[in-house]
Amino acid sequence: MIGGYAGKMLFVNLTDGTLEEQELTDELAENFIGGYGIGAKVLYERMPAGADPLGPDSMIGFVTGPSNGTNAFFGGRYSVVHKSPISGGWNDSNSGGYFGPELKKAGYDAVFVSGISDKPVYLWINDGKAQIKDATHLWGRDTKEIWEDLKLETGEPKLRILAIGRTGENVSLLACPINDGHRAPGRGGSGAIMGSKKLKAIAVRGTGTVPVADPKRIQDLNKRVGATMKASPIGKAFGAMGTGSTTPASALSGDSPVKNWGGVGILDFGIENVQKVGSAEMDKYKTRKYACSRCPLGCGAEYEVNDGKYPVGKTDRPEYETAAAFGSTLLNYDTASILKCNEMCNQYGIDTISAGMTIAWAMECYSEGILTREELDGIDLTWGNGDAIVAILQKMCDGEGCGAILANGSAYAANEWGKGEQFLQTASGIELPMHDPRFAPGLARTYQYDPSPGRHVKGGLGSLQMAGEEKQDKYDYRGTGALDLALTTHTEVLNSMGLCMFGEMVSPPGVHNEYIEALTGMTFNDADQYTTGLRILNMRHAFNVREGIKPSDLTISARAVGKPALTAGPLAGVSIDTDLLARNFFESANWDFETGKPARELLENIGHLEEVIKDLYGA
Amino acid sequence: MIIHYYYFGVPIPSLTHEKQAVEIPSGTTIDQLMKVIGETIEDSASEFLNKASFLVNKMGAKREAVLKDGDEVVILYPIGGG
Ligand code: SF4
Repeated sequence: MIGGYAGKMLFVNLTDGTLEEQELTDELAENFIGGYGIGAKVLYERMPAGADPLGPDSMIGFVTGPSNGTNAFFGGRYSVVHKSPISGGWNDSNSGGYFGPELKKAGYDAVFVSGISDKPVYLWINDGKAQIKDATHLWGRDTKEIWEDLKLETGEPKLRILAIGRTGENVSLLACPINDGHRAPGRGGSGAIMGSKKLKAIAVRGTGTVPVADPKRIQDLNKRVGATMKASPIGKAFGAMGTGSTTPASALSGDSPVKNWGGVGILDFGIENVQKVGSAEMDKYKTRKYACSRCPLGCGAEYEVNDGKYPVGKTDRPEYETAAAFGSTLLNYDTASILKCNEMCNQYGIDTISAGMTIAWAMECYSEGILTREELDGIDLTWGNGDAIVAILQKMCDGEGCGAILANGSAYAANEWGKGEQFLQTASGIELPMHDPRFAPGLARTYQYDPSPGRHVKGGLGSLQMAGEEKQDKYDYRGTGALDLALTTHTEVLNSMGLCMFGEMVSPPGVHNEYIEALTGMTFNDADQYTTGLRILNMRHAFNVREGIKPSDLTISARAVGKPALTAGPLAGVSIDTDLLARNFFESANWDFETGKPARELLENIGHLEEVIKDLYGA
Repeated sequence: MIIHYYYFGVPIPSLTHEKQAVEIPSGTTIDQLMKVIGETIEDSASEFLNKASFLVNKMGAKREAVLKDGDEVVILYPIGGG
């Protein structure tokens, strides 16, 4: 086996209670790297097309990358892969912390779970030995409580855990598992899948080492990364104040959506209020900073909140996405309520972005008289009402009353109630994240057409525009395809390796290709990165094509792309030519814009996609 | 003429979200204002001023925009984080 891998994958069937180990081949590792790259390949092969995401044929994978469990800096992220019960298509989401590296050290590169258990269970993986264990007594425990329960039950105080809370047990579509008590592969409904399978948790203890090809080179690379990080103001900002360091700036610049994407930060939220949603204000509660495995930066922080109306005690600093979703999007600058919502989402296991955005949708419906106070169980859900936000979120977490509907997301609620569709801000049914395409128009293409819709971590042109590093006028949509595609393929590899994107912001350019070489021992240059990224992208895309999803089925809400355009503020008049952006991308990717099919010669040239060619073009 | 400015974004020593005033010649553009401010901060941070976006009197403005007496400029350099 090449370096950087444990060499084994675990397949668990919860219907019949079987566990099967399979070798991770060099071919799979070299060509699909890890994370959602390997995840897409395995699910494509092993999960039948058309499977009900919440049914027994549905498969969910927890997949590490070659950097996880090694000494490589920023190598703490693993991917969760499955078919989304919200969009009905491919879904990947990734998370940091220590769970992924621990799984690798326990001897597994990936765990794939199918079937449905007849009673609650958890998976206990202890240094190469995996067991399905009864979790009946753990059903109802939150994601932090169960961590403590299982430390006692297994006698392993150092175990790491990924678990669903009550929202996942209720099979609410916005549910997600939480690992390490506060890190979430949040998007797309993975918690609902776990809940449908009655899989309460995966607990892992690993004390092994992951073999790498060139440990000395990894150390040297780490030194280089450490040096550039120290000199980088972004490194200093994230290291000191986390991703929330620039939340106020985003609320003013138009980067963050405001008032369910219909408002203007400087007018509706106000320059005097924006600081209340950022870390500069919230860090008065900071007791210590923390980091994911092998991260020299450490953008996380523990808080202790013992004052005010929501004394949640020990909690975590809200990430940018969370602070924006429960802040500017709701016109809410009640800091205490944002901290409370963040803690509830972690305990109950619910995606902060989709939860905040679903409440934003309900708020706008309420303010426009479309939803009544009775329908919202008596809650006065007016803009900026922090207490009402907490109350409605509590109902979503518990799955009670209107919360049982809202916990499935805004698109589900609009359909269930038969109204409010005009206020949805979604991509293929999944709530949009907290970076506005009208500020970084490349995001319009990514949100609508990435195989995992509505993601801000998929690279592409939007990532360049968010950083202010675009060379071309960002509102000139001509000829964007090649750069958009190249930047996307780059991120495909980075994510599949298990590296953190923030690490890349503070590292020397191109260093992650060198990490792949040092970890695995294979040569890996820019051309290899491009081809490998293309392969992973096409594998994820082919999953959707095989499901019968065509480009015209992929939607994005009109308001989010400036139709109609805002009339005031920094984004006034911006209306994105989404069609041209998409056509440019599809042309460069060699994907048919009517059927979505990747060209046969493209797939042949990329290689290692034989089953896709067979499915789409016959033998 | 007197211009007021605020800065919101990646923390830069000596730039703050509190309102500050600067006296500059009439006809100064935002780009020229950034050069004036850039001289007061460390080199590695001044690159952010090259990538920043701006509001003038609550509306979006380009670097080439000519400022006038009493304008309020908000300098913004957020980084996309998750
Ligand atoms: S920068 Fe933050 S999210 Fe990324 S690895 Fe470090 S602590 Fe984790």
